[in-house]
Parts: sequence; C-alpha cells; structure tokens
Amino acid sequence: MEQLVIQETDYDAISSKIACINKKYLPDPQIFSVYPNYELLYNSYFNELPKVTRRSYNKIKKLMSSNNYPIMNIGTYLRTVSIDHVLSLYLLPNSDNAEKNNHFQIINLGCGTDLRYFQYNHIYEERLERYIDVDFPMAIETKGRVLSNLNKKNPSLFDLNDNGGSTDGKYQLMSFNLNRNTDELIKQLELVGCDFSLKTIIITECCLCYIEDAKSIELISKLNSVFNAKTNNLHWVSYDPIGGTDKFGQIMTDNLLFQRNLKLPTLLTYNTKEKYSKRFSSIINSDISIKIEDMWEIFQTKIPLKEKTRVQKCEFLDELEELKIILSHYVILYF
Amino acid sequence: MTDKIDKIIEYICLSGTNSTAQEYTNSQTYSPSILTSCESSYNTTNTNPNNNILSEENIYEICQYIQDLLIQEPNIAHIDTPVTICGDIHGQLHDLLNLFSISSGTNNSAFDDQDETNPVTVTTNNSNGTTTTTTTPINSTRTTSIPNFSQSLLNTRYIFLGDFVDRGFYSLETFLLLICLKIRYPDRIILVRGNHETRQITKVYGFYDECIRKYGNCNVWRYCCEVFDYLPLGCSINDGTIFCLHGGLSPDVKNLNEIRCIDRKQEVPHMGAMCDLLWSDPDELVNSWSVSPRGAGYLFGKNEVDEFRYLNNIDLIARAHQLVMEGYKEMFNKGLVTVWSAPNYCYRCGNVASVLTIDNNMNKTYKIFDAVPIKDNRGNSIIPNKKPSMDYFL
Ligand SMILES: C[S@@+](CC[C@H](N)C(=O)[O-])C[C@H]1O[C@@H](n2cnc3c(N)ncnc32)[C@H](O)[C@@H]1O
Ligand SMILES: [Mn+2]
Repeated sequence: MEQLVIQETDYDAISSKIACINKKYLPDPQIFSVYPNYELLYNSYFNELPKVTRRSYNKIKKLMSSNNYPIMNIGTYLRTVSIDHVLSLYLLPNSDNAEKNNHFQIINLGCGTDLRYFQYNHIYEERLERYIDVDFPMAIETKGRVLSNLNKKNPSLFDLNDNGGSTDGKYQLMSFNLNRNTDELIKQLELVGCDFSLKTIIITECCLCYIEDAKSIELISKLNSVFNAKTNNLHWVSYDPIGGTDKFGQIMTDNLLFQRNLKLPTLLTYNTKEKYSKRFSSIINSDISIKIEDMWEIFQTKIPLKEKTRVQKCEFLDELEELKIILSHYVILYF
Repeated sequence: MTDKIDKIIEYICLSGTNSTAQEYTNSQTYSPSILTSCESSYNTTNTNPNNNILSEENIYEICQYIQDLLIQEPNIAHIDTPVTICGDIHGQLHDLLNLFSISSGTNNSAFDDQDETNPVTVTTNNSNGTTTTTTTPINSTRTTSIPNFSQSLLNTRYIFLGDFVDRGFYSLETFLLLICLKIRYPDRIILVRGNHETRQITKVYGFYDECIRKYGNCNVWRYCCEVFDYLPLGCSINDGTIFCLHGGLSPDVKNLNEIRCIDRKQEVPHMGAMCDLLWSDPDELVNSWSVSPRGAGYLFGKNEVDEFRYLNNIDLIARAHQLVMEGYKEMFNKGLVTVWSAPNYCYRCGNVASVLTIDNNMNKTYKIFDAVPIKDNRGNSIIPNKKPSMDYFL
C-alpha cells in the first residue's frame, strides 16, 4: 500500500509534464532544436496509456485538470530544463579525443514515466552506450507495455523490442525496489550491461525524497564507490523538495500525509541547500565540487531573459511572492 | 429577502462541516456529493430544507439585488471609522470567518479547539507615534460556530480590498457571504474590486472551475462576474486622509478625480488607469514608473507615492495584492501599507495574515492571525475530499 502511494507520485510528475507541453512551456527552444519529437513522444505515450491501464490514465487526467495553475507549470518547466541543462554540460565531448572517453551511460533511479532516453538517444546516439531506467516492478511493467505498443505503431520513433527495451540492448527497463540491498541493485545493474568503468550519470528526480534516510545514504555511498568517483567518472543530478527553515516543510508534510498518506522521510532532515548537499559531500571525494541551486535562483539567474519572457507569456502569472516561496523549496544538486 | 439572506449566511458559515455539502450539482437539487466525513454520505432528498439554499436561482437573485446597491456607490466609496481594512481572502472561507471574530473582538475565534492555541498578535501604532504590541493566545475548538455578524458589524465597519475569489477551495461561498453581508449591512461594509474579480483571471485561477465543479455549468460564475463589474475601485476613510485600493498607483492618475470619472462598469481592461489601480505594486528599489513583472500594472516607488499623497492630501495608502509573510508591510515612511488577510496562503505558504483597524482617533492597530488549523477529526472542514492533491511538485 505504502509502495503504491509512492509509485503514484509519478502520476503527478507526468501529468505536470504533459500540462506543460499542452501550454507550450515545454519543450523549450533548446530541447526542441535538438529533439523535435518531444511533444509527439509524450503525447503518444499518454494516448497509448489507457490501452494498458485505464486506471492510471484516469488518475493522471484528473490530476491534469486540478493541478493546472501557472505556478505549477513554471515549476515543472524549471525542473525539466534545469536537469536537461546540467546533463548537457556533463555530456559535452571530452577534449581528449580517445573515442571511449566520450561514451557514457545514464541511470535514472525512480524514473517513473520520464522518457528522456529517447531524447538523449536521438541527440547522443553514437556516444550513448547504455540508458537504464529503474523503478518499482509495477511501474516498469506498465512503461514497458506502453512503449512496446507504441513501438509497433511507430518503429522509427521508438526502435524497441517487445519488452520495451531497445533492440540493441542499449535501453534497459529495470524493475527494482530501491529499498532493497544496494549490493543487489549493483548486481542487477551489471546484469543489464552496466559498465562501472564508463562515464556515468545518475539521475534522481524526486526520488530520494521518498526513501528513508539510512537507505538513501547507503545508495549514495555504495553507488559512489562502485562507480569509482575518484576518477571523475560519476556524475549525479538530483532534484528534490527541501523543507526550509520556515513553516513550509512542516505544512507540506502535514498536507501530503493528510491527503494522500504520502511520507517524505527526509524533507525536514535535509531542509536547506547546505544540508541537502552535505548528504552527498559527506560521502563522496572532497575534490569534487558539488553544486546546488534552488529553483528560484535558477529562475532568477539561469534562464536567459528572452526565454524568461517566452515562459512568462505562456500563461499569465499573477503573483511573484508565492512563486518565490514555492520555488525556493525545491533544489537541484549536481556534481 | 432579509430572511433569505440570513439563511444563506448561516448556511455558508457551515460549509465544510458535517451538516452541509460543498458540491451542488444543479439548480433544483443542491446535491451534496462532497462530504467532510469520509464514511458517511448523504443522498439528496427533498426532506432536507437546505437543499435549495444555494440554488442557481437564489444566487441569481442576490447577484441582481447587489448590483442595484453597488451601482449607487461611486468609484471611490467612502466609509467612516472605526473601520477594519482587510486584504486578499482568495476563497479561504474558514479564515474569513475567523477574521470576523478576531477583528471585531466579539469572541476569540470561530473555531475553537481545546488542544490548539492560535495566538493573535496586536500591534498598535498610536497617533502620537508610540507603538504597542500584545500577543493573546486564543483557544479554538473545531466546533464551528457562526460568527455573530450583527455584533461584529456593530463594533467596526469593514473594507475588503478585493481578491475574494480564486485559489482557495471556497471562492463561491466567500464571495456570496461577503455580498450577503453587504446587502444586510450596506453602509458598514465596502467591497473593493481586486484584479481577480474578472472573467479572464477567474478562468485561470480556480473560481470558474470551482463553479463548474459545484454546479456542472457556469451560470453562477456568470452571475458573480456581473457583480464584479459593479464593485468600486477604491475607498476613502473619514476626511480622505486614508485611501484604500487593491493594487496601487497609476501613471494615468495624478488626482483622485481622475479615478472618479472612470467608467468602471466593465471587465478590467489590459492597460490604463483602471487596470493599474488593480494591478500595480510598490517597490522600494524603483525611483520611477517601471515595468511590472506581473505583466499588468506598474511598479512605483517612494517618489510616486509621496507625490500622490501630497497632491491628494493623503496620509496613508492602504492596499493589498501582495503576499506578505508577516501579514502586513509598511513602506515609504509609513506612507503606504500592504495588508494581506489570507493566512497560510493556498494552504501551503506558511504565512500569517493581518487586518488593520483604524479607530476614531486614527490610531492604527494591526491584528495578526494564523490559519484555522487543518486538523482531521474524521473529515476536514478546510480541504474538500475531492481535491486530489495540494499543489506540490512530486
Ligand atoms: C515523483 S516520481 C518521479 C518520476 C520521474 N523521476 C520524474 O521526475 O518525472 C517518483 C518515482 O520514484 C519511484 N520510486 C520511489 N521510491 C522508489 C523505490 N524505493 N524503488 C523504486 N522506485 C521508487 C516511484 O515509483 C516514482 O515513479
Ligand atoms: Mn491581487
């Protein structure tokens, strides 16, 4: 039951993303210029979903009709583009021309319905060695079925096998409950062809926040050592809410518990940017500089003026103070 | 009419408690499909005399009635002290009920909860320049009681500075309650228009959806929008030394007379004086009219405020429109104040709210108050069960 509650947070994530696409926040011109199929990809996934699970589809539809304030769309837009932006920095080709050094793999923990594989495979086709999506078995099963259906309809867009993975084994859908032993996770990763000596980017987008503190520490430290962060082969991009030093976190905790019985075990523990980043810095090699920004900072300083104007024209945003409060409680960490 | 209005007021005050419903399917049957208690559920039967209280017909009737009343008010309404100035409410009905009790001192809180203390802080700026602050812990229980409006409105008059609707879960009830009180006590309460009292904004920010959700059609939304067009644009107190409005100043308005001759009975335009009055914001960092990040209205600074106050003989501009975590914010040597009256805005911002009371000696008192506690005792009166999720990024 508890697992289902957590798994269903993906409905929130995907409904927000589709709402953003409908309102033209996404794809931003940057993504669009390198991956013109973005809108088609998400829309065809969503349209196929009811044939696999009508229940999920209905729940997502319902969320889409209720969580549609501009403030939510701006937040979802920022989360998406900031992760893509960080990834693109890490994926710049090495100056060192050795072919192998330019290859990489991506592991998305708690991937939900995120479809970044298709985007990244299109952009970095040659260099992308492997892309592994990890989530609970039920979530992965649904995703696999929807994708394999879509593949039958549009093989050129998807190029997948019957399980939803790619024919060449590059794209792997992996069922795994992250609460299990991390050594087991590492074994499973190896089984689907993960190469621990390859440059790797781990994504946790709204995933660590659902995991108990001790478990998340284990995840970070064991993955860190197996990928041998010392040789700078591991990058990590993590997005999560933080409780803050005001009442925001406590109210969020109460609201989510009351409404959905959803728990965020570490929201109030890693409640500031400093503490959230300590979570990583206390574990990884101290030479590596960890960056962390909240979404308000991203909005204020990282989005080019022209793009900001475009975004603010997508819908009429009535209030900035509220936007500031909300956005300053979500962070992106990367190294 | 009076009887009917009193019944509606009483009915609205019980919104979200077990005795009433929050969702109305159509005009004839006011059929309760959202109930606070998770287990119990009513079926609409005609034996419940309350079924028709918020029928489309009744709402149509009060909306027509209030228009006749509002049409007589000038663009800048007038009211005398003692008066309580209130900022944005945004559909937070239960906090509004609390506001009435707290501001008039009739009783401590409309919501009493033995184990919950909900303090009210009172800060008084005496006209001789001194300031006093007192904090009174208030006991509140969840047994909802109907505020004693006749007593409240006898103790103080009220100005509500707009943004009654949108965002919260009870925009319709909030607006209807306020217009019913206006009908019952016409010269003791002034309702000023906010930037959310428009067709366009309510379509995006929740009021329209709420009406559709509750009635299955947009009739009551249309009736309310007609009322919006008649609301005054500002209000002056006593001899006019305090001037109240929702947003702020406009480069097109040097003199108050320029407000008086606006033809206000229309949807708020996208630009021009009427738009600016409802949309503009003060900003300490600008020294002339500047572009507003909201996309409507202007930012204005101390120069603009000082000039406007000087030309129109105004000591204080009281406005709302901006969330202030501390409930209120004085700016420009106390020449302008922002009053915000929606505590824990959108049920998640964690801010306190305030109202500003002006007594007969023009002493200013800020009453700071917290949100009515969200607490589940088999059904919550604040968050309707049907709302699938609070707006968080998950
Ligand atoms: C809010 S969703 C985010 C989905 C996706 N990362 C995105 O941002 O669009 C959280 C996801 O993490 C997954 N998740 C949470 N805890 C997990 C665990 N212990 N094991 C596997 N997946 C988990 C959930 O199933 C869900 O799909
Ligand atoms: Mn406003």
